[in-house]
Amino acid sequence: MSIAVSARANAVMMALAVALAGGPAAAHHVGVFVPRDNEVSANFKQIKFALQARKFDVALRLFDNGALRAEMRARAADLPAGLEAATRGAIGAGDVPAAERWLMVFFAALARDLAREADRRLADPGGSAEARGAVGRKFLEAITRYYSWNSVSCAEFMRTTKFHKYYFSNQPDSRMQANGLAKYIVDKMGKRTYIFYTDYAMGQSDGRQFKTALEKLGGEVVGVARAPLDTKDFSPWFGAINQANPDVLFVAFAGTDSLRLMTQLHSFGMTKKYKLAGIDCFLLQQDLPAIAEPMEGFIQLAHFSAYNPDKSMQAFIVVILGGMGSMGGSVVAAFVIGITQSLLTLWMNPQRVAIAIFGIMIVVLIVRPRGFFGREGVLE
Amino acid sequence: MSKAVSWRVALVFGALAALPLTPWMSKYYMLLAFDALLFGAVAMSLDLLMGYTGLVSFGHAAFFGLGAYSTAVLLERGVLSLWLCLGLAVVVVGAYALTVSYFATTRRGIYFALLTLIFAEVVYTFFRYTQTFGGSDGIQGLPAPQLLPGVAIDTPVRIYYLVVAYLLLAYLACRVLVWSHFGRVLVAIRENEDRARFLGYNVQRYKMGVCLISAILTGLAGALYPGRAAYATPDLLHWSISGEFIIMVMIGGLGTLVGPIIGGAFFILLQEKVSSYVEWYSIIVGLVLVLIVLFAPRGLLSFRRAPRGRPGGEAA
Amino acid sequence: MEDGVLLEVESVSKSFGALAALARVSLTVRAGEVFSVIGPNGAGKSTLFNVVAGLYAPTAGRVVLQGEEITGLGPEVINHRGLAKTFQITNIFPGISVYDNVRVAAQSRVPLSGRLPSLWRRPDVDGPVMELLAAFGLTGRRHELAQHLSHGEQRYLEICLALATDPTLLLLDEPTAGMTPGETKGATALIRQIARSRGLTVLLIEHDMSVVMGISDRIAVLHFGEKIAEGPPEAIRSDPQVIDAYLGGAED
Repeated sequence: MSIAVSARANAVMMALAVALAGGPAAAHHVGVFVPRDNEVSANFKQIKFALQARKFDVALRLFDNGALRAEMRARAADLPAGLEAATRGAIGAGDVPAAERWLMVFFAALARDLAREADRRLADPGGSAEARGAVGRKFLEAITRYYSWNSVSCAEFMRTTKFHKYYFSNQPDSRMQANGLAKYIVDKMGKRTYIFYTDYAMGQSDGRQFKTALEKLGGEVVGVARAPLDTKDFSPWFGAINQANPDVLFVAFAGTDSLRLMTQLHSFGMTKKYKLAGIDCFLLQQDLPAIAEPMEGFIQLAHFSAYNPDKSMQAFIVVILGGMGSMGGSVVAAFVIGITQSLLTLWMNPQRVAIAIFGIMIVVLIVRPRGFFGREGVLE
Repeated sequence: MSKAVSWRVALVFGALAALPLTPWMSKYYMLLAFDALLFGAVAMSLDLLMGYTGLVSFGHAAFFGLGAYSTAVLLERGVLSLWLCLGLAVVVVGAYALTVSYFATTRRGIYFALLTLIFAEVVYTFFRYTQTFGGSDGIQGLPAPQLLPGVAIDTPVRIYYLVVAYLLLAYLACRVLVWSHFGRVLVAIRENEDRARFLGYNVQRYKMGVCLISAILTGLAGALYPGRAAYATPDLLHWSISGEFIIMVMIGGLGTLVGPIIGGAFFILLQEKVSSYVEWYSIIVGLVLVLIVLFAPRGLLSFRRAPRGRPGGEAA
Repeated sequence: MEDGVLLEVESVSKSFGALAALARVSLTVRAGEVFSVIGPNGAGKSTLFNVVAGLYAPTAGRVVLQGEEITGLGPEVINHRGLAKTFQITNIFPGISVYDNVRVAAQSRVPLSGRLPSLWRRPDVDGPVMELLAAFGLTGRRHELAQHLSHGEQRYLEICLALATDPTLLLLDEPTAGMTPGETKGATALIRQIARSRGLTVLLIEHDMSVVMGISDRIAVLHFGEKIAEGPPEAIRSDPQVIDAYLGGAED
């Protein structure tokens, strides 16, 4: 195969791939809940994209003329001094980490103000449960709207609002969810549950909700524990959990806390010992592979799967292993790989599963490049 | 070692060195120029493999990214010496390249490409989905590296001169390599690998050698990147980056060394320009690339010089 | 090297799966002679050459060159031991100039080759290269791309490449394939002259009987992978088996 032909074909293919895959590949969303944008959050998204693409003059332009800066100005009395100037300076200098930091401070302040606003409205004891629920929903929507920045931990937001006790305990949805999940836990998973929650906001209310629900439905709560926000090491609590020896471990943690907890639970072998259920928020799809074992009964999670490579990469894998020039071979290979991947996740970390599959591919390419069923000489 | 450094090349590097002195070179453009030259250098080192030896590597992003992470890991721990960062990059990338090339050179054509791709995917998976090096966030918020204790590369002008210096050294090294005995054998391998074997050349060793050299040059370029971006993320290891490198070489012209530098710069600048007007810039960039491949398959450089047979022929 | 024997092929067999291309073929080639191997198409001649030159390892048997066993070694190693082979289908470096073609072949013999300094140094092999080009009349064409040469010139270049590696034993696989009768005559004379002047031993595969009878010291005849006759040209010409199988039968 002459270099001119193959390289040219490859280049065309790559060009198209880059063109088509560029934009959509970056998309992600929070569970199933995608709030509508208002002007400020739309402007924020534009600036964010510009910064991530290193087009700093564009970002600066968007900032200067946008609703976000106007909002900053309007609230200047409540914001740290010099925030607007610092943000502008960071954007202009192309200092992405600094710009992120200042914008986060701004959103934290926004969230705090929103919480205060909601507080004020709920201070009126006359409102109905529905009305209070509506206030809560609006608040959640407002916060989540600004959440689309990847690296922000949920903890940062939680720390700035004292709205939690109104929202979560009075939210009819969450009570319904608690009942539904608790029923599943008691009926299908096990009677004895240990509840472990984050000592803030939704963790506290989830913990309370689920304790009530589980006990009402005939389950037994063998222990309750809580850990502060942004805990780095959860192992001090594991001793008590192991002593209580529940059937089900129920966790209510947020964001990167949840990630850390799950990773630790896995490395301590507890994900194998106990069944796991939980409520989680703001856990991104792409972080899920860090959680080693499949878990039952997660609410608010739209997608959960072991790590799979890009779709196009998977196509490669199937064709190479199945054999070039053999359609039946590709089908067989697809089944074999799919099942192998799923089975391997029972014993291995999902990331290592992908690496194991790649390892198999390397061996096949070296030893028998045409694949299991391929015809000889299709591509040399 | 006798070769004439063409006056044209000297002129170009002189112009590059003088660029920061022009009035409209804002910080933003300086960093853009950095990107253009850095990726041009990577494309040039890929050209050693693609244009001169005829091996298409779909895994060059791994060399680049490993170099970047080497620097990032050291900077994160407070080891600020640029030389140590480059040294670590050479070691890490070299070890990885030896492994990949050992296996990949046992096969030819597209299987070579696929093997490089899969090894790179393994590296990408490791950096992206394990938390060892920061997971999907990578390593962020890095300090500036130091050329000497006290001389930090912390302004765009300094990082720009750093990349110009690197490009000059890399270019000279590639020129010498291509002119040398080793380089001539590479061309022979590209033209007719079997015949080269029958003339007494251990072809696999030569292929491994050029893979190693190309990888280390790319890794050194990658090691410079965190100095500019203050982070290293797994996105640098993605296969689409490998594809972009190949496109840069093809745009510029296989087997010309200078061509891919221009191709790389062109690609970066095109991306920047188009994306500041539309969000779906990748479609436009893709279209431009398809046009170039269709109508100027020898690359942009082919409009300036008469075609002299296959690339890298007499014009060493 | 005993009794001037340069190459010994001992009972070599080679099978590709179920197909037996060579069956217990033995030959002895003495230093300085021109030894031809003839036979109908598919008789296994090229396979024999490929086994001797190291492209394939034989299924059975040994190959001994200058007293050292070379069975199963790779072509590059065998080339360094003094064996050079040309190809039936022209196998040159098409995209570079004729001069560069021969130069890269000659460069494989400099002590620099394969060592670290070869990354930045370039040996001077101009002398040997020009000499070879002159011997084959390619001096005037040396700046042309090899792919632009006429067929006959390419065949010559093919031999140049092999000779540039300074071999003791030259394997020529149908060197006059595709040449006009005039070119063939010229090539034959050239080969004989060069072999004599450099003291080369030549192992030759040929279809053109005039060439074979003209320059060979000894001839071996292969048929369906087996050697059916061996001896000086006159003996072969009158051998009934050979006539039956080849000379009188379906000869292309």
